[in-house]
Amino acid sequence: MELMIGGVKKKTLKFVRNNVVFSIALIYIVLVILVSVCAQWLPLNDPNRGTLLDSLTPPSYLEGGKEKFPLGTDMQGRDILSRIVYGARTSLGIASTSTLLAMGLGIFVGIVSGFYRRLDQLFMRIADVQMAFPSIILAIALVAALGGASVTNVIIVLAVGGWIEYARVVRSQVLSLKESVLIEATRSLGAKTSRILFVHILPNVISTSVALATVQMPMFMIQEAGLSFLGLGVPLDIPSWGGMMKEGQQLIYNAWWPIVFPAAAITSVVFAGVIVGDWVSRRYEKVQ
Amino acid sequence: MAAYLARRLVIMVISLLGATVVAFFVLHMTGDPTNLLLPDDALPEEREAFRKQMGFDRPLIVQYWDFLSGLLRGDFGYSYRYQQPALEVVLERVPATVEMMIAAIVLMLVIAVPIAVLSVMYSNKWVKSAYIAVTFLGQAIPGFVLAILLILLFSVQLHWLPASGNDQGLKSLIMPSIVLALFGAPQIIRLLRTSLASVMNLDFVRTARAKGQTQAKIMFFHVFRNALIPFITILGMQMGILLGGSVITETVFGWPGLGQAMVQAIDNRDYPVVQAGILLSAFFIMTINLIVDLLYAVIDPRIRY
Repeated sequence: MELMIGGVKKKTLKFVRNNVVFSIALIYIVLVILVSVCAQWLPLNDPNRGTLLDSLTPPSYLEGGKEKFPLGTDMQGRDILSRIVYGARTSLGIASTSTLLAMGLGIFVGIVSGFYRRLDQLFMRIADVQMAFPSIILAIALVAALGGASVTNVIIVLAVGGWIEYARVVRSQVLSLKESVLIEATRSLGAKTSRILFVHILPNVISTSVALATVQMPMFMIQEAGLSFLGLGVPLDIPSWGGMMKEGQQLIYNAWWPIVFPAAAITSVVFAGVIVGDWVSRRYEKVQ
Repeated sequence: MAAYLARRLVIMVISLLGATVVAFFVLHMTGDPTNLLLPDDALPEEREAFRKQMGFDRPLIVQYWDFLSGLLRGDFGYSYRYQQPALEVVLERVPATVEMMIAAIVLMLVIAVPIAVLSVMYSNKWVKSAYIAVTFLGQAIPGFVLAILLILLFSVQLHWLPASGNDQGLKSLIMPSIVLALFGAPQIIRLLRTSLASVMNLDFVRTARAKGQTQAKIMFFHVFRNALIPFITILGMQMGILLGGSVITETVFGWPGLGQAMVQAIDNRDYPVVQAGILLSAFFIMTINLIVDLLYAVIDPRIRY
């Protein structure tokens, strides 16, 4: 028993030593996720309420700062630290939901396109037309069409922007799997198409998609932050990093902390996410 | 060649039609545009009257046809906010955007090409650092984050550059174009490096070197020219990215261009301007793609489909 535990510890240490950057990034991301999930139970100030008396307090380690607000307050006196933590919830929540949605949509289209020739033509044409459009312009059009900034709309817009990659990857997998001996054998055993789809093709396709998702999620976070910054994403009454930077920009001559801290949050989390995603997808390619 | 051109034009027309459908649906996706356009406290009778007046009670196809024929006549609708035809509003803003994009493209090439060429030719510490720096600034830091941080540094702290607007000529242009250039630079560097590296190993380069040509001449005459095709493709693709990036960059820097106009239009529920902006952007991108495809056929006589 002790030997086993010792072995695991050693293996982990060896792994960390060989993949230092990845390990740091992974630990950081896990911490961020943990903190954002447990936000309600942490001793934080109310992120949505502040008094104007506290407006624009500098971070506590600077002159004029108060201990109550470690990272300072924004124009409305709201604590920046807690807004950043709750903003993490918003960003991570939106990014993961839209990734799931995009993945679902993309996998569906990919499988259908792989199997049915005519639908394939249709979907690939749509994909081509969509790709010819700059994605931000499409996002803007979609937000306008859906009636303005809201959390649901952001998720929809992100998912619509992101289904294509999944569809393409899944489709090519399906196309090659279709011709494989396994499928041929299954068919000759009399399996219906639906059974083939679920039992044989879907599992293979899901693992590729998950690898893709780890790379996509940071991208979605950037896009959501950008849309929120433009005022087309998360409405300002919900804490979000992009929204914080939008509000912060108004006061840029008076206070740097409402801008720099959300900026650091976005950059660091996306950077770590890209590192993790990159490593995962490269590992996955090697296994393939 | 003529057949190629004709085919490309047909594709472009179809894509443009697709864009008009998208623009049309901006107004109609949630069902009844009346709710989007009127304030929330409008009375039902007022809504009915509005609906009739704007023709929203007609079948969708009829409305779309109206929309399309209007476009062909140059009628892009009337901007509610500016009390001008939407097309005018949009066209007024185009020069500012074009100015920024051209500056960004120039900067992008100035940054990307030397780094790519040098990193392929020599394996030097400075070149590597430059490469990493550009990639990090362009990809890891989201554009608007970089933009705001630059403003914080150069406008608020150092007072060197203006924080917004385009009224100070070159000084105003510097930061926006740097940010926009960094949007696209990493990809260009990567692509240029790959295509340069692949050409460099080809036989005819070895022949040239054997003949005694200097490295510089080889790089220029043989290697670079052949790397031109993927280069042009990427430049064409980058136009789309730059146009998208200009939306955010213009908003951060208060640059009065097309992107900012569209974002403001959504805020103001000024849908004709949004539609005009979408259509103009689509037209612009597709024209660029068309030109790129034509240039292909010119540069490489082997490509003639």
